[in-house]
Amino acid sequence: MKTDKVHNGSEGRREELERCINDAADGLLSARDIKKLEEDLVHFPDLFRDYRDIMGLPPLSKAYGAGPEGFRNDLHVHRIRQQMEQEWEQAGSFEEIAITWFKKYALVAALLIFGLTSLAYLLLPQMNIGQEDMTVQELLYPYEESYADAYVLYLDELIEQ
Amino acid sequence: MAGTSIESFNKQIAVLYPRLNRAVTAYLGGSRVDPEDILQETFLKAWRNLDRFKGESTLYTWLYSIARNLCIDEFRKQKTKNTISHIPVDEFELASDRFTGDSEREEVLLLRKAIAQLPEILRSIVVMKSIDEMSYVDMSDVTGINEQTLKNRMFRARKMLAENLKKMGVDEP
Repeated sequence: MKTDKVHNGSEGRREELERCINDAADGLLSARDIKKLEEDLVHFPDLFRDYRDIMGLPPLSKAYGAGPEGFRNDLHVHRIRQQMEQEWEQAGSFEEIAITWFKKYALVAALLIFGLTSLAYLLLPQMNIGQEDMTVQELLYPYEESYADAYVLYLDELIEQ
Repeated sequence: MAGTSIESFNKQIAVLYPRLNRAVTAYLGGSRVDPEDILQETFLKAWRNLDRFKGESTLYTWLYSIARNLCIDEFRKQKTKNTISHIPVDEFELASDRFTGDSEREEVLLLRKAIAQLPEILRSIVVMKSIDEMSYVDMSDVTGINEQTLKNRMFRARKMLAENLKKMGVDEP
């Protein structure tokens, strides 16, 4: 258990030193911090080797020119803008067509809807309303045989009298 | 629009293009993917989805995320095996390169090859940090990885980069 704790402590220390090495490579450490880091790294020879290798790397920012200026491409930027304009025009023309079509046919569509609605209003009562009334009456006044039987008996009694 | 207007975006294309071109070119080094195709698709995709850009990150990091995702999609499509070590160093030369001498040319091309040999997860971090000079905060915006993890990976990337250069016979200074 004690060995594990020592091991974990050592791992934590290593990670801390790795972060410091990275900070040093990022140029974030002062000369004093770097001196302290190098003193600490003496106890971790493999990390000291990594530190030297990393600090010895050529400046990576130079790998692709000193800056973005060399990567200008006005022709390609122009082409991208053209493509955007084309898409914009296509989207614009679709809207225009849709609005023109709507204006042109809106009256026809409205009249058609009015005509169909009126026709339905005239024809439907003949077809369905009567049946629907029956259904409603049946629902409201359900047929019960007992009432009819009572009425027939009542008439019979009257005749007999 | 909370993020940026169409007019503003249109103006910024010319400003942001060179920086993004440099980063994408570095990221794609050694692959068969054309940076110009990726850049064109990036700007068009961003333009089509401009209403989704809320300005929570910078326009550049948003574009960078789109470009990076497009590159990863291309890598997946191509399923390229890691054969970069077999690519001759001369193939890392760009048409726009202006070298002062042969030694500078050799150093730069070897460095490009060493970066290209890194696994994607480390290469993208090296490109963002060392070539594009992004802050760890912006890198975190692009990748969705926390800053501490990014720093740990940057250490691993630098270590591996030094190993790659040693393998290619580049001596320590």
